[in-house]
Amino acid sequence: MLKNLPVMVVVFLLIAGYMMPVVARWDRKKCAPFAALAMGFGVLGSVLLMNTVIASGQPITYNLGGWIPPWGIAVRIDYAESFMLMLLTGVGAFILWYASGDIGSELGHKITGWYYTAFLLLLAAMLGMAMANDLFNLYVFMEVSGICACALVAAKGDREATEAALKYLLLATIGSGFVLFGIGMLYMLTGHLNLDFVAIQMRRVWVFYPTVTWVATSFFVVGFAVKSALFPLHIWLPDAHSSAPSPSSAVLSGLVVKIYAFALMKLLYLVFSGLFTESFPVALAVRYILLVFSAMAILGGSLFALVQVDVKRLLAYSTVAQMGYIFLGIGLGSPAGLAAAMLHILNHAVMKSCLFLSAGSFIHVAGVRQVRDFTGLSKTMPWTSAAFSIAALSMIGFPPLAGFASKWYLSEGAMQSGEPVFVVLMVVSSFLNAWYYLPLVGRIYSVGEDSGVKEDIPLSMRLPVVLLAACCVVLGLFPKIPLTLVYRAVDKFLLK
Amino acid sequence: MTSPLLVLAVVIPVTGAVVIALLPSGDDTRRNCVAVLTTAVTAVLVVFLVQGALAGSQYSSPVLYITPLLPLVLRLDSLGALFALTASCLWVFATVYSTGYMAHEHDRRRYFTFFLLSLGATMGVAGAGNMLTLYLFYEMLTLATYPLVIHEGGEEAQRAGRKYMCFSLFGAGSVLGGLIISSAVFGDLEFAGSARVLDAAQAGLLTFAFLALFYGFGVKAAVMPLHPWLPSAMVAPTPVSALLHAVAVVKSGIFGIYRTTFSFYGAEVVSDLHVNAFMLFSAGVTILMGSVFALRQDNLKRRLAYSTVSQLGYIVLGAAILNRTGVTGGLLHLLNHALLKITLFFSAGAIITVTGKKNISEMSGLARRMPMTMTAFGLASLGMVGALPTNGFLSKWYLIEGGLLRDAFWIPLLLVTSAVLNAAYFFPIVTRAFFFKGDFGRFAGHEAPPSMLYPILILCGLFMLLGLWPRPTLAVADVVASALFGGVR
Repeated sequence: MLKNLPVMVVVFLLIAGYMMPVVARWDRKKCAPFAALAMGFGVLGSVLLMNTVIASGQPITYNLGGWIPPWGIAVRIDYAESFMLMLLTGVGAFILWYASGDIGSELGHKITGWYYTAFLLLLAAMLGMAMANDLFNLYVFMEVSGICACALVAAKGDREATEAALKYLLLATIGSGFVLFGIGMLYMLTGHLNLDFVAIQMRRVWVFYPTVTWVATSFFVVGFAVKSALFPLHIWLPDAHSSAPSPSSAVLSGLVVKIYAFALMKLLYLVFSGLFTESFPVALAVRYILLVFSAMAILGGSLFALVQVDVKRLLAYSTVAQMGYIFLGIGLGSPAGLAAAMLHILNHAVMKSCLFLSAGSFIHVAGVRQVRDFTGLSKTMPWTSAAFSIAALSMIGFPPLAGFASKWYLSEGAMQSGEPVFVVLMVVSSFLNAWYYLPLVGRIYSVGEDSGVKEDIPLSMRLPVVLLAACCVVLGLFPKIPLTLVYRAVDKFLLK
Repeated sequence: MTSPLLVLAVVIPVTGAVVIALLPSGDDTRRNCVAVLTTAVTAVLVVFLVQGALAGSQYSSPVLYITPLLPLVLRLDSLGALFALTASCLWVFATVYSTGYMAHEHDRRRYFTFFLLSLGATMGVAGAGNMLTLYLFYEMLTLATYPLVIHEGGEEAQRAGRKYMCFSLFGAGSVLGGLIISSAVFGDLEFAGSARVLDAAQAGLLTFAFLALFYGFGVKAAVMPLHPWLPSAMVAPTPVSALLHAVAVVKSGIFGIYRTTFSFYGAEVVSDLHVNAFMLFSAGVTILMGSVFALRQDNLKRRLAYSTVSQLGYIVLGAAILNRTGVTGGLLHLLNHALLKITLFFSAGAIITVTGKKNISEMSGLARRMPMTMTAFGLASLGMVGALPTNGFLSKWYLIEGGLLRDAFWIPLLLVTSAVLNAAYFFPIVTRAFFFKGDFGRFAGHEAPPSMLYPILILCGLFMLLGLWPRPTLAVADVVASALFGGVR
């Protein structure tokens, strides 16, 4: 069992996902505990895997069916992967907890079962993407997660959500297409799909096929950039994330976009590592492009967020800006920069889920989505308001909250790469973040008018939000907990 | 020595704030007791700690490593001690005064909660043992004071609050950028100023970082042109204006500038960077323009606010002069200005409470009605101008001497001009109140309630005493200045 654990985590969630409609048919109330059970297993598995990796200091490799690579399918869990597994299942569990209270009322009871199916499949696919050590499985899981994510958006079924889901589907497919082309070219160049073998071969063959290497790299960058909404390619994100039900928004903004950024990071630093250390212009070009576009994302996302009146659209544009941080870290490529990118994947997942879920709570109780209708909600919903404020302050980067640590390390990374201009960018970005988050917080706490809301949200939905906010504080005070793992992962990225 | 006492100086006010937040909002008696008691206990604790710090033994808290790069630690050295002492003692007066002033205002629970939280944040700023800790508490101070600025709740207060927040965040961002760059160059965030040597290759980067830090902290220190939030913030209740906008908040900005210049970078590095031309220029412009703007204000609190802007320029000038005498003068003025300005603001608050008058033009003959308050106001005005028997004289003397020591002959000229301007905007108020005929009946009615009047009188006595017998303050300022220039003490 323990030997098969890596695969079991994914398979268990997949099976649980497919079981959900049956469970719903049997008794709708049993859905939530069942999904929670599967999720709990996922968290437990991730913890075990992470412990094994940390204790042994060796990556866990698992060959499916005992077939050794390059023929068989291999799964590989190293520091970075176990970090992602932990994050996906951990934050996913909080979101699922909230969803169990929210989905029935937001979507109607008919499709509750199917919603859990999509949710669990999505998580399974993301876990699969994180641990897959070959390009084919990476692609398959990418497609699964893409379709499930669309399903989560479309679940609402109204015109707006359907339109957004369709837009998302189209653009995600284009992104996948690019990635698929890239995979095809790599296969053509190296004759392998297993990442380790591709990496070894790439170091030999790129000299003979510089153009193809260049094109393949570009395809990967563009494909993953579309899927993780790097600024000019982000146009699907605000619609999708704002029209989806709140738990879906949380999982899409908090987790889904990150996994593609992580996949790109893995490809660039593990597979193309040979190119990055030698003086091949593609390496410089990729870094340069990522830096420029992430700077645009950080500024552009925030500027768009400034003018939003719908709170969920505001949060969605803020995600665009925050993805810029992550890509900035990837582009900087210095140890602290990469560490900051990974740290921010975690911190932003926690903060943004907290924000989307607390905004969802306001929407759930007060039925308002416009920023100006949030006035005075703190009176009846003190806990949710506090959680929202903490997460928002963390987004701005107030010390000692989670966002401050990522910002500090990102700036440190910029200094390490000899690009102090990005420190200025960070400062400007904090200022912009403050510009759209602080008025919101102020509005929630303004005492002037009565919000008209009489009841607080039930405890079962309040608790995950509050716990996520607590995580923001803990991650801010003790970022060394994730950072020890992150730095080991970064060492592997930069050494190989 | 490692001791938890220093942490208590932050924890006690925060605890007091929590207790007040938990008390029922109608229970004024108990809330006032808790507030005054908390500040008094904090002040006593700080006095105890300061004695140790000035005698050379540094209290420090255990270090909390956020990450290996980012340690949080409280450590009280002599500069911190001076600031902590000034702020915590004046806080007691301001709290007593607040209990009287706020008696007829709304949302008193929120007010006192944040009033005490601000005290905790200020103690954190004063006791910060490295730049990161300083920055952390500096940000917290911004957040804790914002509800106090918008306390009135009207449109004007909201606008002032937005302005305050915008400027503060700009400053904080600038400070953060400067900190990151300098920490990458120096490799740490410690107060190791006296040991630092300038690496010529990094001079450009450090110049940029230093200016970012200077103007970042300069926002709270109201260095022109970053001052506009201060006059707007005068919509806040008067004790807030008195304490935060004359003592705690603005002086935490000043404190940040001193920390950056002397403790973080070191006077030697700063003078090698040739950045003090910027500092001198900004301070000079602030001193003059602040006074000129003050001349045109009819609203008493706004006039006082511009006077604060100008006087803060003196303290910045003390840092910019970059020699021991100048710093001594700056530090003396930090203390003296705090005492004088809080008296002036308290008097203005008393006038508002008793007569409801906010504009100077309506105050003709006011001294007949409030003789004691106006006497205190007049004496404090004298101090502001720097007339001889008051404490304001000495700090200016040291500043002038410091300026002459570095052959900057324009500094005495500047200070004399400024003194004339100060007289030009303070004396008309006093003459109007004492000698003009107005509609305030002869000795009719009463002065402000005792909880407001006594703080004014005690503070007035205090600064008069320090004017006549300045030896203790001078000794303290001298100890701090020599410590900042790398002396053992």
